[in-house]
Order: sequence, then C-alpha cells, then structure tokens
Amino acid sequence: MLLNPFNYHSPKTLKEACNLLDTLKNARILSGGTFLVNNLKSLKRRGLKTPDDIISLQKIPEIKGIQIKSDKIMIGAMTTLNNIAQDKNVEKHYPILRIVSENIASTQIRNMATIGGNVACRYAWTEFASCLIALEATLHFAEKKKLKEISAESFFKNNAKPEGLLTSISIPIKKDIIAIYKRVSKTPGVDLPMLTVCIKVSLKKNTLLDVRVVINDGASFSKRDVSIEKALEGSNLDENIEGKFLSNLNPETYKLDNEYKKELLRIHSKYAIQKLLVQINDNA
Amino acid sequence: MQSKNYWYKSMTTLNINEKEYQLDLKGHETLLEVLRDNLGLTGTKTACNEAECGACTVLVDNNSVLSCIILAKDVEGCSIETIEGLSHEEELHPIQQAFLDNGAVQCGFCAPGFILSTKALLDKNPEPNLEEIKKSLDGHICRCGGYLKIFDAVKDASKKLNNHDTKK
Repeated sequence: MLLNPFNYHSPKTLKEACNLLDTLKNARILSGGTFLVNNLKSLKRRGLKTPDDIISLQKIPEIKGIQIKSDKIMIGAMTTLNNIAQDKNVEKHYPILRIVSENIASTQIRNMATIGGNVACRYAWTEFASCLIALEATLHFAEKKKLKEISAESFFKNNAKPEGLLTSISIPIKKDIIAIYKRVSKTPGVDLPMLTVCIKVSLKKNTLLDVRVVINDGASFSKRDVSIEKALEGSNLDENIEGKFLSNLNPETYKLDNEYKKELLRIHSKYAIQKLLVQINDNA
Repeated sequence: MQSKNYWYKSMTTLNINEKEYQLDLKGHETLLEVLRDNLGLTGTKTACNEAECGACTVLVDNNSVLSCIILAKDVEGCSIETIEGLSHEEELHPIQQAFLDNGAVQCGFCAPGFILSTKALLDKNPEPNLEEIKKSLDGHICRCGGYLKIFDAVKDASKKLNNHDTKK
C-alpha cells in the first residue's frame, strides 16, 4: 500500500465541495495530485500523521477551462498546465503564461498538475506566483456562504492563509503589454527553479508604464522589487533602461545565502531586461 | 459526517484498454496499484513511486500521466490505456515494432512508459522534430542511457505510422 488510508470525497458541484470543506475541518484538497499525493507518501514514510479526509476536485466541471469574460481572461483552477500551454486565448493575449506552463516539470506532470494547485499549495518556489503577480491577477475563492477575491500579490505575502476553495484566476486583458519570464535552474532538464525574474511593462508612445518587476529567489515567496519599478516607471526607450534596472537591483534584499547566488541574480536580471528590450524591438 | 471510516469501499467502473472493469476500491488506492495488483496488468512498471522516473506512465484520455500519483477513483469515467492495450494479439503496434527494430530497448524496464508517451505525442503531432520528441519524453528516465536509440525509434515510428495511414 502506497498511501495511508483516508476518506475519499468526490463532490460533483462547487457548492457540494464548499459544504464538505466547511464540515471537514482538517480535510486536504486534491486537485492535480502531483504535490499532495507525493506529500502523503513522504509523510507515511516518515511515520507522520496523514490527513483523514481528502476532497478531490476532479469531478467538478465548473472550475475547469479558460474563458474570456469582457476584459478578463478567466482560468478555472482545475485547468491543467498543458491545457493552458495549448490554449488559443492564452497564446493571443498572454503568451507568457504558455512559457511559464511549458517550463514546469515534465509532460506527464503538466498533464495532471493544475494552475489552482500550483498557486494554492503556496510553496515558495511555485512558478506561477511571480507571473501572476506581474500580470496583476486576481484569485477567486469560494466559501460556504460567500465568494471572495484577493489579488495574487497579497495572497503571496508571507502570512496570508488560503481561505476557502480557489475556483478561478482572472487576469485583466490590456493592450500594449509586454511581459517576459526568465527562469534559472541547475540543470536544463526537469528541475526546480533557483531563480525566476518576471518583468511586465505597458508601452505607450515609447514610454514604459505600469512596470512590474517580480523576483523569486527560490527560498521565499515571490515579491515585487519596488525600487526598480519606480526607477523604470515613465522611462523613455531612448534612455539607458538596462543601466537603470541594474543600478537599482540590490541582491541584499533577497534571501540569497551565498555570493554565487547573488552573482546569479545580477547576471540573469541583466539577461531578463535585455530579453524585454529585444521583445519591445520585435513588437515595434 | 463520519470522519473515520477508512475501509469504506465502493464500486468503481474503470475503462481500461476499451474494457470496462467493475472494481471494489478504497479511496486511497492509486491507479498503479489497481492496474498491477487488482488487474494483473504488470506492463505498467513500479519504479521510483514518487513521480520522478516515468516508468508508471499510462494514457488517460490520450494524455500521458503518472499512475503512481493518481488515485484510481479520480479516473473513473476516463478512458485509460496501458501498454497491454497497444498490440493486437500477436501483432505489435508500429511504435513497439519501431522500438524493437531500432534496438531502443536494453533492459526494457522504462520501455512501456516511453512507448505510451510516444503514442500520445504521435497522436497529436504525427511528424515531430527532435526538439519536440525530447520535450515530450522529458518525464522519462532510462537507466541504461539508451536515449539516442529511443529518439531514433520515435522518428521511425512516426514514419511507420504515416506510411500505415497512407496505405489505408
């Protein structure tokens, strides 16, 4: 037997799932299962207590799929990473989401893992975090009697606890947005990221506006680098953007425990801003 | 609501290799355990058991997934395909034949997983290039290190399947 026994619940509707979550206080939610099932096995191996109840969301169709609703792209929490990578609407509005999805783990994992699970498990290094913060995404939660919305940025602040059930993620569709994602891992194959840098700007008349720079150091939650954002906001493309970016980057603000990682941040931030400038030129 | 009723079993219908199986399953049984222990479909291999190696790969609704971390009850109502479902009696599937012809099988432990992932790839993309092949097989580990011959086999399988389709 690979797993310790538990009660398996498989609600068919969102309402049923919320009721179950309300009744079973210590239940764990199973979405794709790629984190949770492995985690349950590891708890068993170490002789630790495993949860009594598991609520599987696999049979709830209303939280799967990607839709365009007025000026937002709504991604259901149970949409798998490969579905995101292959979706036409995602490719049209935010190809960066495809790039992020394609870089996560292996094909089989991407066929199982869901964006909701990736976000709601709240591991520090999860890859969608920096991208969703940069794109100003909103997370929609459902509880027994109310619906709640929370911005991705506040969700990933250290002490925030997930409340209710994550049902969908909405990202505003804006014109002239350019976003890039830079990921560094030890090996080129299937590996966790050591560092991710995500930069989003909206370009109006050669001026950078709504700049968001989100850096994940792999050890703590993704966070915005406000000093770089302030420096770049309103900059003209004729100015030395790369210089401005790099002079405001302070590796001391991140949880980088050695010189090698600090150097890694300097080098790959440089690559990231260069990549952004290349993309701006390509779009022009 | 009962909170401790671990041994509660319920009838689950699984569609495996186009056959329906009625099984009395507990919630915590993984698909890998059910395939190997309950149904004797031992072509699906147990290796790392923690989603690293890809030996336990099966196809669920034509997508390759890892049966060691998927609960059997979660795939009720889906179409599941294992390595046993590929060949027709004595006749091998063109992908299996391509793996044999190219010597892509050394110890053979990883082969069922590789073959099923290749099938998932070729169903969606009949003529993949080397990069696409590598990307779609990124979840598999071959301890014998026979990757190059596996890539050759996938290219060969793609040709075999395309010829097969044009002959039809």
